[in-house]
Amino acid sequence: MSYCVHCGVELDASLKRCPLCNTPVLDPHNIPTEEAVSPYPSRKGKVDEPVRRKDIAIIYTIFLITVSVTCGLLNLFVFSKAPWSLIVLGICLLLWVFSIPFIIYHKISPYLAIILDGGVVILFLYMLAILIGRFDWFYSLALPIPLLFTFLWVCTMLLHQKVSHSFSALGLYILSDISIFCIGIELLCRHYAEKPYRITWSAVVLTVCAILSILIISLFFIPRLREAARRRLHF
Amino acid sequence: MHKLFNMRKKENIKKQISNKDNTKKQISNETDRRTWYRLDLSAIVYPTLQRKDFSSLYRLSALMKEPVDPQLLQQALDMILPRFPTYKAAIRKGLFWRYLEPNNRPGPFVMPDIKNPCMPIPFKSNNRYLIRVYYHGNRIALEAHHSLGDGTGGMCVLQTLLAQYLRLQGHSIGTGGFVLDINEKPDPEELEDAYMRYSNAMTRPPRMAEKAYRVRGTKEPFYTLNIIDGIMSVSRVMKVAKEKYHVTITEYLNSVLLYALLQKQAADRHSKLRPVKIAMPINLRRFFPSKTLRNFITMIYPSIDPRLGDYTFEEITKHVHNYMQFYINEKYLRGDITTNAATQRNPFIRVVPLFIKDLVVRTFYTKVQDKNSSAGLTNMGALQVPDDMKPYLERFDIYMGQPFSNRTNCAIISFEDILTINFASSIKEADVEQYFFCKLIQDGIPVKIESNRS
Repeated sequence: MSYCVHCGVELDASLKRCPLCNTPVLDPHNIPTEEAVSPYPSRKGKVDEPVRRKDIAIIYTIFLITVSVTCGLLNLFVFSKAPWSLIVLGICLLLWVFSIPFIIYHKISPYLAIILDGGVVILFLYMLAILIGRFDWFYSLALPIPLLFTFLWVCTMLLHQKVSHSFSALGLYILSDISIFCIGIELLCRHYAEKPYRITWSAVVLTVCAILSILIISLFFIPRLREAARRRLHF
Repeated sequence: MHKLFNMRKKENIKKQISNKDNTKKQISNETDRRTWYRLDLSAIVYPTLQRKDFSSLYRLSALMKEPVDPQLLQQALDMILPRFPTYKAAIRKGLFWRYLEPNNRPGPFVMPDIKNPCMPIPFKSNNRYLIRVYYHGNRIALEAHHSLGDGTGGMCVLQTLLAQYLRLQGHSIGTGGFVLDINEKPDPEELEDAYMRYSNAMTRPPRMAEKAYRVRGTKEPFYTLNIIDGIMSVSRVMKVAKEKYHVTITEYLNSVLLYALLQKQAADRHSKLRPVKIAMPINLRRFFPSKTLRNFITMIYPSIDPRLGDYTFEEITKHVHNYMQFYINEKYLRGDITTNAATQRNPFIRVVPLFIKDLVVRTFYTKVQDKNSSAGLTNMGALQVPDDMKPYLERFDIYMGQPFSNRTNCAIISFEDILTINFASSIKEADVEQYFFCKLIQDGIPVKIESNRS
């Protein structure tokens, strides 16, 4: 019979330390010759998943590979006028890469997942450009727009994680993203159409976003308003 | 003598198996395709909180005087389960609400016990059964999802299982109390949602909700549940509670837990103190007669606000005693369950699709309800067991299961003169448990500790 010298409780013979204070059980006059059996088993249980994620990932991957290969063979030997199977291959690749965080590998870094998503969209558009046989639209629009989108998304995630993750701050980041993205699209379109650089419809978006941002900032910096909003919107 | 005993045992087993066949036939008639059960008022919430690493499970276990025979245990389980149609059930999703439907798949199968009990139970695993039965050495344990029923319902299943197991061993065990007759048809009252019968107060008392102190600790990795059992004498605890503090055992142990949490908050050196609150389920069957085996509990929140000043232990016991006197009575509890039932009765809420309800309930629980208490405490009280079963039982244990957030849950049960206090937590530190048991030692109550911590 051992007692914890620190807590004063009697300890089960199988315990080598007091589970309450972690003090080791040490009695030089009474060294047990046999190891006492714990009232608890040593085996740890695990949750049995009804359908394993790994199995879904394998089936999903095999399905996409089969679709791509069969379409490629059809394109090669039967309907061989144009390389149309590039579209199917591109869509399969898009679906596979988009599903990585959900089905294939859920521990993937969100930054890497977004960069991969952006990359595969660009690759798909490049395949389309090959199919069409024209690359001017690709370099002027199809490449910079996904790049800009990916860049803004990564920035938002970084700000949300490192700077502030409040709802109001997230609102500000998203509004800023929308404004920058719309301006970017308009300028890129004008560049492609060889028109002078100026903003028109994106200025309207910018104004709306600015108004909403000012509202959020007011809520953020005026304690009275912030409290009123918190009171009325609390869960 | 041995041969004679074995012969009798075999005859008994044969009789039980023929009884089992009869019961099966009865049940197959009853559980036709049209049978299904609405979830009761409490049970609606529990499946919503289901996560990959959390299920609202509780565990009841009995320590027998002899090692458990798994084959007999499986036989006993197969024989008793049809008597509990809401436990032999699977949970399904409807458009607006979830519901239970009879589950005739093979199982549930008894399993060797594990170190980390109360691990999540995905609804589609375990052949869709929401109960598990474990054995280890002399122990038989039942784990059940809260959406099937509360501790009282679970105790009926466990004790009926124990009784049947002992009968299969050749002992003569009667029925009564928690042990139900497995040859009887289930009483419709056992399957009722008793909340709806008694939630008829003229007014709905408002609820105060204030963020409570939350124990800070290092979260254990998934698949870990730290258990600390304190075993003591009921008479010693009773003596201290009655003679020293003039309160009941529940009030005394509640006060000790509040005292432990206050000490923990003081040791944490928080810049902002918060009230210390305990979420304590109350068995409503004590006030509203019902045989229901489903959920019929409501929560009360005894609390101490350290911002008002330093409380001595005597002041805490007095405060808890007054709180219990004020809140635990038929009138107040009727009002409380009426408030709970009001949301389910509201026709506008009823027509909201289930996924929206899930979203709202989960958000409300995470943002408000979970932050409303510092720890959980439940007291099953002194357990009544048929006299002919008592010689084969050593003690009972009860665990509130994995806490929803990082904290510790405490569950109390007593059988004969053994009172067991079971702490279950998902954090590494055991400070609250240490303060709790040290206070009992200070009050002169000897405590024996068992744990699965290594």
